[in-house]
Amino acid sequence: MPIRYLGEPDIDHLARGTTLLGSGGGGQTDTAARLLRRSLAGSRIELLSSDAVPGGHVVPVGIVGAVSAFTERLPSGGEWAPVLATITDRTGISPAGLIAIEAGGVNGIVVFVAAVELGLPVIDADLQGRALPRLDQMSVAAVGEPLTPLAIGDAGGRLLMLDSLSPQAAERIVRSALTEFGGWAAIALRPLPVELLDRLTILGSFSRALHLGSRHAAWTLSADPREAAASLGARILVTGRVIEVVRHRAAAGFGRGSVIIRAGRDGTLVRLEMENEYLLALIDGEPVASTPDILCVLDRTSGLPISCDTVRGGAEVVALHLPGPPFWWRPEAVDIVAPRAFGLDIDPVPLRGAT
Amino acid sequence: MTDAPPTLRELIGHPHLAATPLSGDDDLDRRVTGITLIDPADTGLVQAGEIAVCPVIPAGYLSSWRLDATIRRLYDQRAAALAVPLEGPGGETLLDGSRRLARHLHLPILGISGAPLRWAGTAAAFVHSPAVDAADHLRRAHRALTPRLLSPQDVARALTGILDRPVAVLGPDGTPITVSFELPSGFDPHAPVAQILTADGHTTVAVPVPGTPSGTADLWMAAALGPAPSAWARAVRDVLQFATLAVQRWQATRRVVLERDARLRAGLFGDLLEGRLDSGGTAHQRAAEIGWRLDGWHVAFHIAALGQVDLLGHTDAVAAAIAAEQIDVTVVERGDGWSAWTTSRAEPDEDTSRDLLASLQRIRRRLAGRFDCAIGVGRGHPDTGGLTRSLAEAWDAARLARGRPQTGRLVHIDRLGLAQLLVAWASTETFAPTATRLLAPLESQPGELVATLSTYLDAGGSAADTAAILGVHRNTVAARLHRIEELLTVDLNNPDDRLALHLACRVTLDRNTGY
Repeated sequence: MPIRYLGEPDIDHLARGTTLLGSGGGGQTDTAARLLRRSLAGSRIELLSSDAVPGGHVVPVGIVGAVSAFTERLPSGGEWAPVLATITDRTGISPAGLIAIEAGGVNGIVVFVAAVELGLPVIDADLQGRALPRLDQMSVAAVGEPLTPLAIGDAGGRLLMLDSLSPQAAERIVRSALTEFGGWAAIALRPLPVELLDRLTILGSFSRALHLGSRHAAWTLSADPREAAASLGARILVTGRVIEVVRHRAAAGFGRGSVIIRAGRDGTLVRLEMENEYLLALIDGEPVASTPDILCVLDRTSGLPISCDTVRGGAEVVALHLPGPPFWWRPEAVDIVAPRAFGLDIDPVPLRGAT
Repeated sequence: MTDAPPTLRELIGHPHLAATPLSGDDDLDRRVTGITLIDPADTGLVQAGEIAVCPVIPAGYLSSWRLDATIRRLYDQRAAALAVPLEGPGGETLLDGSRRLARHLHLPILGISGAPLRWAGTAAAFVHSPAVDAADHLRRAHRALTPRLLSPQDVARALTGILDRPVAVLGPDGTPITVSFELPSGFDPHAPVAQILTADGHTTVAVPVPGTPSGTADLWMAAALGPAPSAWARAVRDVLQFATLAVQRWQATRRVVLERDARLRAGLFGDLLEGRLDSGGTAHQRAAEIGWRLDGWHVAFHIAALGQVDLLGHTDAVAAAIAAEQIDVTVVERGDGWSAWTTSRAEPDEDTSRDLLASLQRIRRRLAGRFDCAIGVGRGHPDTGGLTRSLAEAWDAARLARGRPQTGRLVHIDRLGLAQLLVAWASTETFAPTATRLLAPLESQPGELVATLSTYLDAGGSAADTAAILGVHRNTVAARLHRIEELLTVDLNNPDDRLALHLACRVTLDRNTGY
């Protein structure tokens, strides 16, 4: 099995791909991409497929918290060593590599920053296959395995370790602790045995991200959007203008919102429901796509993805529907990431024609 | 009677079914065949043409994607409209995107401000059995109008409350009487039948109140409904027709009262005119009982109706016209019209008199829509005897006013010479024919003998002046006078003859010139 490397030339495709997998969430990847470029400083990271690792364990790493806070206060180096050491001490397991907790958005890049810091290879897999907001929405949790022991911490030595707690409890505790860490923190989860990765994780996430990124980079101004979408494996929901963006401030949890896009051609109205990610799409009131599938809003001329927190009325956009990771469509997993997991009272909408 | 189901626009024009179109004014002209309650979270079945009513909505529903999904589902089921509470539990309203979606899919959204369940019940009842709704309105009208006697205005007010739409009483020609109310141009006042008129989607119902003797309308009752279902318009017509009975009852009762009062007043008035209302007498007491003011200074006026006029039928209108001028008077039917008088403590001055004349001129104009009249005004005199005198003066002045269009058929006794009064008296039916007969021999003769005689007498017996006025030679005048003496066998030097001839000339000439 040939070893694949991720070097500076791949960062642009990686950033584009992880942004698309972010489904409108996961944070702005451009700052993270600059950070990775600086960390690599010309070097490269091994990106191993799961079967290329002979045995042992891999540790899921990433960041938790507000990506806006991450952009304001970038890692200074040394964020991941303490949390990894905590997990290693607790379990007595030395990791053979790192695995991203989330391939969508900032975490899809941060795992490589951590890999540079820790000198470990990265496995071509993750625990979400896209961006999702909560710890209990990890694939590991979906198949009933524990996330703990887990540790969050920062370069200043602040550290919190949790053990023997359910994913839901861990999510609640970590979420409430984040303010003490300045809004975001590095995280490491319980090590995963390599031989179980095909059951516990979503394989090939970075191959997909890099593939999407390279196709997206080829998106030119003059290209037919339909062809460009087809090359991404996506379908176009609507091409038109954003006519209304509503954001409801929630008393608890994440704020919800709606984006309404009016097709330039026939006045068809597409409504996207969003939280941190775009979650549900309705064309003329008919639900046509939902999480766990991936919904993207791109600038119509530049093709650049527009995230949930930056989408504004008046923008000329293309909305895309990408298939979500098949892992999440499994009957035992789908409820964790289905619309109802975000308070949208509707069954998940499979891609039309799919079973 | 079956007819097409009401349109959405008509339906929400019904006062009990008011609703706000939240997605614009388009698409409201579709027919509504029924009402169905739906659960916003459920995918229940709605028949084509039905209004789907969400009686209860969860918080946030109006601004959520689920409303859009509901709109879509109803569109697929070809529903007529979606009806939702105007505001959600948290005070939220529709997103602009949802309004646009409704317009895009041509599925109107109605906002209901009251209780949606009641709205749905009322709407269903109306769509399926409008007769029940009509009967309910008739029953309410019956309850409101039967227990006591109501004036036409009060009837209109009561119906305005019951129908929740403006109802007005209009005159025979369709002009509103008290409140402003406009009938559409299609209204025909000469067709005394119920008329349901629709112009620009707005319906007006007009129903005649039949006059007593002929088939013409005495009054009209009309209701402006705005956009209204035809079944509702017919229900309103029935309610208005029922109301005309109440109006007729009021008219009949009023007539009886007026007749009775008129007889009483006529008797007392006779006493008054003949000076029998001495203070302390029983007649005086009865006059005081019916509110006649006999003490103080009185100024009387007489309104004489010209042409054939049913006096009693107009007494209220005359009283109202006078009341509108803020004049406090007692009105009594008398002969060809109505006599009335104002009473004050002090002797009326010039200003009071001028104001009264101006008011009376306005009263004349106000009554012009009903009948033409002449008005005479007496002088101010004190106490009962003075009243009798002022009434007599007013009567005389009114007689003169009949023939004086140049004074607006309004004459004050002060403006009359005593001689004219004499002439007026002489113009009675007994003297006038005699006067005509007296001068008849001159009529068939050449030489303008009547004019010459009249001018000669007016000129004080001066033949020279007569010649100058008539523009003829003095000898011609002398010759004519001679012939007159011969033809009439009179002596112009005899004062008695001159007086008789002078009166006869004046009466005859006045008659010939139209007085």
